[in-house]
Amino acid sequence: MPMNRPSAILASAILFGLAACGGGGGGGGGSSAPPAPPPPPSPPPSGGSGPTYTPGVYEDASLFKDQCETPRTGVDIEGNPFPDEAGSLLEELLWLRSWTDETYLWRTEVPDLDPDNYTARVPYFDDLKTSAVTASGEAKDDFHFSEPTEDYLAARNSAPSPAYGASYAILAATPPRDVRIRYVEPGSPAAEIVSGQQNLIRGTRLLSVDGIDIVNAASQAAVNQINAALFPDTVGESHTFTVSDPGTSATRTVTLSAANISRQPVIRTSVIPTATGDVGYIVFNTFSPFSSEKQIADAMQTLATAGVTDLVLDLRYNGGGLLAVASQLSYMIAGNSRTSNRTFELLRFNAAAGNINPVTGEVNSPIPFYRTGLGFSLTNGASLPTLDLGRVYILSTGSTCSASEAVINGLRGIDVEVVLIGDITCGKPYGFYPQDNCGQTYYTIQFQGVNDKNFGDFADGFVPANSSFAFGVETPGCVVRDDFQNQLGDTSEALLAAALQYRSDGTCPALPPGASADPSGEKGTASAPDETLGARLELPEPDVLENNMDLSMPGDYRGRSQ
Amino acid sequence: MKNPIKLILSAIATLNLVTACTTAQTSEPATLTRSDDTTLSRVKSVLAEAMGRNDIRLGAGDLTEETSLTVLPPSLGPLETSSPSIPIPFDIVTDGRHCFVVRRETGEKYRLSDVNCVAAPRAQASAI
Repeated sequence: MPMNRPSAILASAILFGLAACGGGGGGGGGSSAPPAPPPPPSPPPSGGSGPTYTPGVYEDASLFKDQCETPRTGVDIEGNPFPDEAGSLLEELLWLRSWTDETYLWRTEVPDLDPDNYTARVPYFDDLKTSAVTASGEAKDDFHFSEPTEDYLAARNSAPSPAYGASYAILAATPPRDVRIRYVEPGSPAAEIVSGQQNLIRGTRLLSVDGIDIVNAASQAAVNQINAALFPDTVGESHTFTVSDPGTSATRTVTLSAANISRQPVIRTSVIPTATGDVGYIVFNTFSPFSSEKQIADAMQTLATAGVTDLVLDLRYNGGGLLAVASQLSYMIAGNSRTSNRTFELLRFNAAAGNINPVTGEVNSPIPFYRTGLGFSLTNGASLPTLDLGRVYILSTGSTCSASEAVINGLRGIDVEVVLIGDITCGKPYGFYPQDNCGQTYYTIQFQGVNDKNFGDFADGFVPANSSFAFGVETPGCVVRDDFQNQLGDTSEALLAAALQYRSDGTCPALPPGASADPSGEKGTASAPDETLGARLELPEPDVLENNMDLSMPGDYRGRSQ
Repeated sequence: MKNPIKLILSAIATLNLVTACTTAQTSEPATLTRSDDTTLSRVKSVLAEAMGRNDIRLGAGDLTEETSLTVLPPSLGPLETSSPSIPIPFDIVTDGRHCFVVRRETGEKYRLSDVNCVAAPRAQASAI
């Protein structure tokens, strides 16, 4: 029988007191286990030998947690013992049902599914979500998935991984294919200078690999070989590419040998002199590694020291990561006075949770604008630099997602003007806590981030004001096609040039008639890929240099159309 | 005060106050005298117990210079793009005989066995 709420709180208080006072005896007995989440309605009296499904009645998920049809034994790759106990498929399904009811953001929109109609856990989980759609016609919840816990743990413990240090854009997935380089990691094999020429640069088109025609190969077997070469499995694995660089039809040959690559969150910081003052420019590609805290702070310090009067923040390939670093970045942009006593983001859980985080059981406190290092890679408490800006120019594409969008929303919440240059963002105001049960890790939307103005409805993304999209949150700025002809940071590069133009006179460059800002042809007016011409080339999920929640290609808005 | 929630919150507040007073009266901020692998291993072992997990990684900072440390959360998986994870801060304190780490958000206190520390100069201590 689960404890009722007051009992649970009192028990927690007692445990807390005992743990806190008993620390002198050789290590203390405190545990970090959170108190129990809010209980569901009281269950019916149990009369049978095992759990049963009763429509409309949701027992406490903790009753079914770790009661496994096939219990694991031993420890996981992080050294933690498996908590599994002998149970049944029914208990696993009942746990999913109750856990969803307790923690899913849209719990009231989930059908009450009879577990007896299912013979496996994943299909049951897949159905435990809302079927509502957004204004764009897309599924309200298309972030609902699961994977084996073994895979989840392997992925989060895998960095660094073998790669060349190049991020790919597939502009055409079927013949004639167009595979380009988006950017290269500093210090990686892709960035190596050979005979005065960098191996790969932004915009370099990959034409063939090991003699296989990347552009025209038709068979699935050839595509598999191409993928294997693009994404090497082992350090030292070597492949030879024929490539052409932007602005030339000449080809050259490049041999790349894979090395262990860790993503660099900040790959460029520069100061752009203009007639009206210096403009800072930062390419910030991920909030995920803990090093992102220090790298973005260092970049901002460089710009603060230089005395820039404006900032162009390039988040076009930033798929998100740590909300805390997003908060720190926003503070460094906006400064002390604008952020004082304001909320960067509040995690809004389902209504039944009240002011308690139903996942951790803790009080749901707002995320402030963090003003100091938090200890990821900066010393906890270290002061952060600020630019103290009332406006910021953010470069975006459909890969600008999650924590990147939290920066946009968080700044808009304190009336910092966000000028969006590029294209509609991915539209993910949601988040979750991955949860293992019996060897499967489940991702279900549990919170929506809202800003200081209590706004977080950007499931269709933020969109520049001159866009033809009929949905998305309209934001000052310009639609501009991602430009693979120029390097990131080059003032001729289309998005950066547009930001500087908008800053100068408030105007946008003209978009070619009939053109979508999306270069991939995945939406808008471009034609769909024709798979009768040959097998479709797709990036493995996810690209080792791409941490995009929806695993989409650049400019692919999860199928949304204008 | 008939509301049971209020009564419980009052009990929590009282417990917290007692704990906080105990800590404040008997401990002062400290730094470790060494930060070699053996020492850090001992510190991590205690922190593993405190955190209830085996894999402990410390955040930035020199524990012979800083009076606090952070325990990093698990690395993000590739699909975690809106993660509220933050490091957990602990303060290093001494009662003059033993060294402890105190979990800042809860006040839970853990003794660092076989780890030496010294009270920090006042300027460092004021950071806590």
